Amino acid sequence: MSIEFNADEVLKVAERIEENGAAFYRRAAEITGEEKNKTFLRELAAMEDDHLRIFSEMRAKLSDAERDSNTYDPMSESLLYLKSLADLHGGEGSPDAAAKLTGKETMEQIILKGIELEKKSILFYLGVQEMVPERLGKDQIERIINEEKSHVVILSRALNEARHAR
Amino acid sequence: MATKFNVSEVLEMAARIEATGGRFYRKAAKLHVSARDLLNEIARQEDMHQKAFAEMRRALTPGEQGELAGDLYGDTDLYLKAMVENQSFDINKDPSDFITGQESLADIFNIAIGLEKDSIIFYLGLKQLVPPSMGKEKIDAIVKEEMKHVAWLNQKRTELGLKA
Repeated sequence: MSIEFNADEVLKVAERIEENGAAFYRRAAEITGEEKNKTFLRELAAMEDDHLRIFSEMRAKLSDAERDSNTYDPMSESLLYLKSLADLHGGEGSPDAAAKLTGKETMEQIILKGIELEKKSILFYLGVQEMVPERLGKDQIERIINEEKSHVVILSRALNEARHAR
Repeated sequence: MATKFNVSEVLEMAARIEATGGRFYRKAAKLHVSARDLLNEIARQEDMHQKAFAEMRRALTPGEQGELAGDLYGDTDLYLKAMVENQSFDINKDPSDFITGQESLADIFNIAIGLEKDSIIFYLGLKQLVPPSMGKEKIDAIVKEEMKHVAWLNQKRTELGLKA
């Protein structure tokens, strides 16, 4: 898939990352046995839903000019950075991690995958933050980045618990 | 390593990441003429980052040096530990040691991009830890330069027709 790197397309990729993230946590909640873990994973999914909504709202507020792919210099470093991450993600923002779950994963494996996805999304949003118009609220992206960082902390805590429970 | 990181330790780790990163790029530059200028330039920037982190560490007051990580959503320490333990590459190892001399330029680029991404994620945790008086914007500036490195490396890889 080729991505035109204007703000519209970049925000679409961000939406897809959140959709994939939420789908991953929901599928993981289905396959895990313990109710406590199901609740934990569903909460993470709900937070990703909230991020999806914010990115969608930002995209809806773009002006026609901001949607225009010619608005941005295709050689700018922010765009090249985003493109490099999208290239590495197969052009889809993030692989569909939910579909790759076989149903046999342990909670530890699920958490490690979750941490990996959170790190990828943080890296991508740093680039998104550089290119969204100021008036759409770069602080909202900063907030999402901070929340993804908090997910890393929450998941790491859960990882410690899962390892001690073995 | 102590069970809980303090600011001084984390800045020391950051300086080490940059020092070993610089060595990695210099060694790689000797191997591949087609990307020598780019790799040497990135090495030069990593040296600057190493100095910046070392200076920040030296500037810590005695009270700040022992400050424990614990302010990021209740646990910066846990974030940093997760970063150290779940990196593509072991933060405590020198990545230039990975270069045996047999690596293709595509291999070098893949390793380099992984290192850059790991360092960005690590510095975002570090940013929560440094005292405000020290200037969190210095960390932001370094993060932005590491982002540029990812962009440059990927662009060069594309120019040379190398696969990710």
